[in-house]
Amino acid sequence: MADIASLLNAFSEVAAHPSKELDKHLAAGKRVIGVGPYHVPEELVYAAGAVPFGVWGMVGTADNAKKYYPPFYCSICQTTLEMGLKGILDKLSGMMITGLCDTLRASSQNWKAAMGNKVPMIYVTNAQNRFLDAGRTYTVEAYTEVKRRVEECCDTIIDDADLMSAIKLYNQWRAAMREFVTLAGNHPAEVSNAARVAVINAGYYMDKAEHLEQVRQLNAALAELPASTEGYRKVVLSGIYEDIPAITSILDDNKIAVVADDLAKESRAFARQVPEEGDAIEALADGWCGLRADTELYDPKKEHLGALVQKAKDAGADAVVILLAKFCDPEEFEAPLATRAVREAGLKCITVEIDQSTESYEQARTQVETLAELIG
Amino acid sequence: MAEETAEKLPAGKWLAKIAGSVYDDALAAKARGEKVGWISSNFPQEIPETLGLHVVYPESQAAAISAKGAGLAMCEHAEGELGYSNDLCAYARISLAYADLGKCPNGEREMPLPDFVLCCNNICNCMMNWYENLAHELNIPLIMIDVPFNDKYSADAKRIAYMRGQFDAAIEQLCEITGKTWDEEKFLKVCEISNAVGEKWLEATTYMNYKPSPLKGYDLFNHMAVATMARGKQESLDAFTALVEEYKEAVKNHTSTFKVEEKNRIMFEGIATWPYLRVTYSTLKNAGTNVTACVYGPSFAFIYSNTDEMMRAYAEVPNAINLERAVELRKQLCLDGKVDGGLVHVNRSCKMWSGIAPEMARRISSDLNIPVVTFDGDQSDPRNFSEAQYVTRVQGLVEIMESNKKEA
Repeated sequence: MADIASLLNAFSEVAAHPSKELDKHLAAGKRVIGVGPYHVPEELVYAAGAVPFGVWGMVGTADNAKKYYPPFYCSICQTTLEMGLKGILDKLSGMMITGLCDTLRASSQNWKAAMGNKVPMIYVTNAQNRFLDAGRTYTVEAYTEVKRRVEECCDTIIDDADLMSAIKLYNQWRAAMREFVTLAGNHPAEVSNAARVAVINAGYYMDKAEHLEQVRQLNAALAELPASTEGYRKVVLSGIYEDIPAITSILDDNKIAVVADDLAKESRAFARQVPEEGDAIEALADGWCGLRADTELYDPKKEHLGALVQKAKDAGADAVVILLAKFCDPEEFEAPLATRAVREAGLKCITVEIDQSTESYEQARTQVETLAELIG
Repeated sequence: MAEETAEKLPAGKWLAKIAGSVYDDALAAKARGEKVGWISSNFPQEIPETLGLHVVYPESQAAAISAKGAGLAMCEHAEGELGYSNDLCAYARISLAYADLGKCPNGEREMPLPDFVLCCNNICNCMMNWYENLAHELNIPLIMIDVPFNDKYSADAKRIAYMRGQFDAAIEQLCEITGKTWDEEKFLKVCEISNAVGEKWLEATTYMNYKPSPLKGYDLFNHMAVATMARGKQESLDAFTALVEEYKEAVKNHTSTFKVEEKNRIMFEGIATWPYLRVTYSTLKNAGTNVTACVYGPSFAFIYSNTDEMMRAYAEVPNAINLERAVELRKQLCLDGKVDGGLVHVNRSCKMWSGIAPEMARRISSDLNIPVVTFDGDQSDPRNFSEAQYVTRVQGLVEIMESNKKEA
């Protein structure tokens, strides 16, 4: 069995050098399609024989993109366009962008305006009213259009059997990722937060089959060890993303074990399960329509609040840390309600504002240190 | 008798009276024990109107509260007591504060608390989160018609079918909540009036195309309240008809509500800075610059001849259309309004609109060869506006427009 440290190092290497991974795919003769946030049916890309490549912006500042965005804008959108304008994404054959929030809506238009045909956009539209038959039908038709655009960008025709195979692979991968998140939370001594994020981020860049194989090895190795959170403070993270080195350092420095997460880039993305029978496009739509308790998605009864509390309780967490992505409307609307729900359940809760363009996180450090002291 | 009195009022005052009566009627309905709702501005109002339900508009309320100077107090309540980020839309913050308090600081614009909320995210997706929170905090049902942002130029069949499915579901849900019964005949009548109101509102706005304009463009900021809140009512049609007649008279008599010489004509893009209406208007007026193009006209003119077309009209409101169509819409308004330049409000409250505003401005400027400048502001949060910046930007715009005229 491979040792845990070697496996983690391999993931960290990929996560730290996504461009190298991109070149590897291209050298293997594959086309690569960028996949932005979030709940994008990237199984279509995989079924086209291409590699879906996660693009969630970058840590750094946006300069050229400021021509398109006002300053009060989500850093994922700003820095993704910055990457495009700087040529970092030139080797992509397409870029999938959803319209799930206002900033993504505008970003789709800015991408088209700024990048033109250099990296063509594949616009992904989903029905928010996914509990209605009309919503499911809309999503089926929308995904059929997305399939066509993916085919154009990949110069191929997607076979139904290949799409169902991709769905099966992705279901296995998401299940493995859910298992990993639990195992990592139970083994903080072996898997630091930085390492945990690297394993997850590597999944956004690697071929899914390859990543699945390595995650399974890691899971098996972790499962062999006794679970222990002794000496750690057990926390659930909620928000969009955590993969800012300064944030993971702060968590690690304060012996925070992320025993579960409610992050869009992590467990919320791994929550989707797609049926493995019937028409493949309909199955993808059913996967979307089955999603619940997600702040970016229509949630008329606010199931997310109860689900977050339950997740924290099930994981035996002492606290919930809301990593509030600056200028993210859905999260900023949810944060006060989530804070109240968590506190009413008897758990501690803090909100740490994050942004990919922020240079100093000293205030966040103080907040987490205070939380750590309170937990004891 | 009341109607006779209203007919004698100048159209502007008549329209203001209609807008006020929407709130008064809803307050009275609530006092009678009827169920009342809050509704987003571009939700198909034909549904509650047909059911005879009284609904009020949080966006219009927030605009009125902030125009009367209470925006800051309400925003601060939302941020302090309720914990919301000041990055969020100020309309939403004011509305959530009002839902919590049930009143304004000085009674600026009271309305009854709702028994249900009706949301449509065609104007922005922030609306969805905002209304989810209202429903959660007030423990009342939420009905939403989802209009996914359209990257294509026109709404296609799948969008129309999705809208139709939601439209039918919304009616069913609302009948269940209120115990009302749907009357198809009444619906057709409401649609007929709504169309006529939309057409008349649109016609009224086109009088800005006369040169000089018989109205100051800022008048639309007041009149639009009726186009937003009462577009299914016969009285609105009568009042807009009277407004059009007044404009015709003004054109004939060479009079205008823009009281100074109209030296320049501009497009105003974005939501008004309600807390600073006076200063934003007077700066333009002092420079002899009138607003003669504004997207508010087509924003609230829903014209259709059958239900599918109605779905299309609600699916193709300005913030739900792609960049190319958004630019074309503004360019046509600029051409019709014979503008010399454009002034774009980069509105901190509105991420969707502000997110494409810079590129829209560049394209309009380039395609029409007119100067377009931007200024930073906010529709309701007074902390996000700098008078000095605004004045400087307008001065710059005016200088370029006048220089262009000299060169021509």
